[in-house]
Amino acid sequence: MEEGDRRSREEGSSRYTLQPSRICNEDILFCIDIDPQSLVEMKTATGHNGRPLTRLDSIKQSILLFVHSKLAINPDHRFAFATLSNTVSWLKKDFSSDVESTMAAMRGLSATNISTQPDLTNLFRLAAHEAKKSRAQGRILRVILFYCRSNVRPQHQWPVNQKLYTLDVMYLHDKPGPENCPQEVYDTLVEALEHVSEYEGYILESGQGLARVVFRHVLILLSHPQQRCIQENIDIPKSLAKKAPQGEPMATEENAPVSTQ
Amino acid sequence: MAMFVKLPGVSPTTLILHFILLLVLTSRTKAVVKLPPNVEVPAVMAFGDPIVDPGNNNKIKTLVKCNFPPYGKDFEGGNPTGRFCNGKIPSDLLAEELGIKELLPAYKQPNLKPSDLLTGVSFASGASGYDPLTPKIASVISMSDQLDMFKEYIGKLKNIVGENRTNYIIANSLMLVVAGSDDIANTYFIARVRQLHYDVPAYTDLMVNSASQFVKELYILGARRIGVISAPPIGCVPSQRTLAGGIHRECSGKYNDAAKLFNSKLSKELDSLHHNSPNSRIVYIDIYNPLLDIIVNYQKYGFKVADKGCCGTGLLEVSILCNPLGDSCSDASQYVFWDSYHPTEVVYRKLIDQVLQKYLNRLF
Repeated sequence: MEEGDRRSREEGSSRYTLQPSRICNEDILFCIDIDPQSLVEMKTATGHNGRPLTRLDSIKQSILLFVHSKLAINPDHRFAFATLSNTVSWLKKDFSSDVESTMAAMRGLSATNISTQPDLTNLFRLAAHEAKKSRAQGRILRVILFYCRSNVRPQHQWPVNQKLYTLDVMYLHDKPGPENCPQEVYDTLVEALEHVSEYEGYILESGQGLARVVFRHVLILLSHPQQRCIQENIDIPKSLAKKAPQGEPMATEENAPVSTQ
Repeated sequence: MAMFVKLPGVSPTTLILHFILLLVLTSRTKAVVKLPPNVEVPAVMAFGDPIVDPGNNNKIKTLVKCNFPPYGKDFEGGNPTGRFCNGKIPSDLLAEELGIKELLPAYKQPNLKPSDLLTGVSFASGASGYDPLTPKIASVISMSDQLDMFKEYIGKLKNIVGENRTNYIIANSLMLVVAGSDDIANTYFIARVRQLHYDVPAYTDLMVNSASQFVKELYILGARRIGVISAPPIGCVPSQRTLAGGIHRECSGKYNDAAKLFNSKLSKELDSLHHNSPNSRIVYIDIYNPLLDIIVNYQKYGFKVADKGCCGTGLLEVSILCNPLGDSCSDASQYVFWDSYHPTEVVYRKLIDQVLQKYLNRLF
């Protein structure tokens, strides 16, 4: 009898054992849209010289926040940078864990003054190539694309059909209007993300023009592709939202919590 | 060599070290404030949060750092040391005003000399607080860890000057405790991690209990002059105006109310501790009202901007968001706040002047 109990206990315990899995260090390639629409002004924010804060300014700051945060979690993650105008070009090709090199890349980042049809084909080609190099070192590649155009859907072909890396997208856009089609752009980006992503890729968007919303979204992207939940599960369930203390609205885009320290 | 008679069996190296220390002790900064007769303040020690952190966070794994430009813009020719300010912070200014030394170094600063230890250090850590959860959220040095560092410091002091002199230094030095604003702003209102279990009155009780315990521990370790700074008008700092002040970025009433409630409880608790701790000078130091007056009547004090920080847009930037990528104002002395959370050196100077005028006789 005792032996039977022991066996069933052992079976029971083995049934709930988590399989150990190796979480790889990340190589993260940021691709930043430098179309003139990246110079659209954010709301309520101006610098001391009176110059308004632009989308590109908030992207730079959010990347810096991301890199600092990611390195605080694990100092072995690495970062490289590319830009998107009509096609994708390297801004800083060598992956590095050095915050100073991120700062230098951000300083060297500026928008173009002509608007062109963007093509992501080269991004996917570069990413596939870099992903193979990362894999050879026991690492995984992630691409984080910041896209700023409300009226132009990015084009792309699929140079590689394997899913070798994960694509995350942060989409900053204007409100829908006669000149704009942010929903169609969003759908195109989702299609691209689903086509190339090895793990769960996230797409986050903001049409409000609030820098702190950009920061909050970018901090969601800190989650490691091998550990993250599916995107639908990120949002706080309505049932929990109702339980928020009186007079304390849950975090929405308008009152997004950002650490003050 | 008669001065060394009382040190039997001590090596020549140690004797020379003691002689150097004696020279150091006699070469103090000229005191600005007049202390009561026969009162010596050998050192200043600081505990708490970024208001008195001169760089303890520099070498720990946290996002709450500021050892890069534009921090330190007006500090020794633009040197970012890890002080959350454009220049000096209150712990530096107190040490300077009391004639002890120009700057109060971080305890974790590499290459601290014995003379630095003898005249005081800061154990404070940016983003720390009375609530044990506050430093956990930010991965910084908790108040209990700061006490452990203080115990380690006492051990080092004993090795340098012996037990008697160490006891004298600890008993006569000014212990400055500054915390609470991060508990209220970050842990309670922004992270909201305490709101399911505590309303504001209950949370301020938790904070006061923790503050009281901290002061008792300092007393047990030999400290007798303990100044505990109140919470500031946290709802009026630029970042909280941005996050909780509505469309017009007014001061957040609920944040300020929480700070006032905490302060009233803290004041009573410290008064009780003072009366129940023999030979102690445990003093509650109000900076809520003087700082609020500066913020509200900023023009009267010679400032041009009170609702934005000098760094970046001044609305939200603090720590790693306050960096060389953003513009900083050209003249920080025209601003009440340096970043979206911490005042400028000029404001700290005004506050320290008021604090010393009002509390000097109670502390010494």
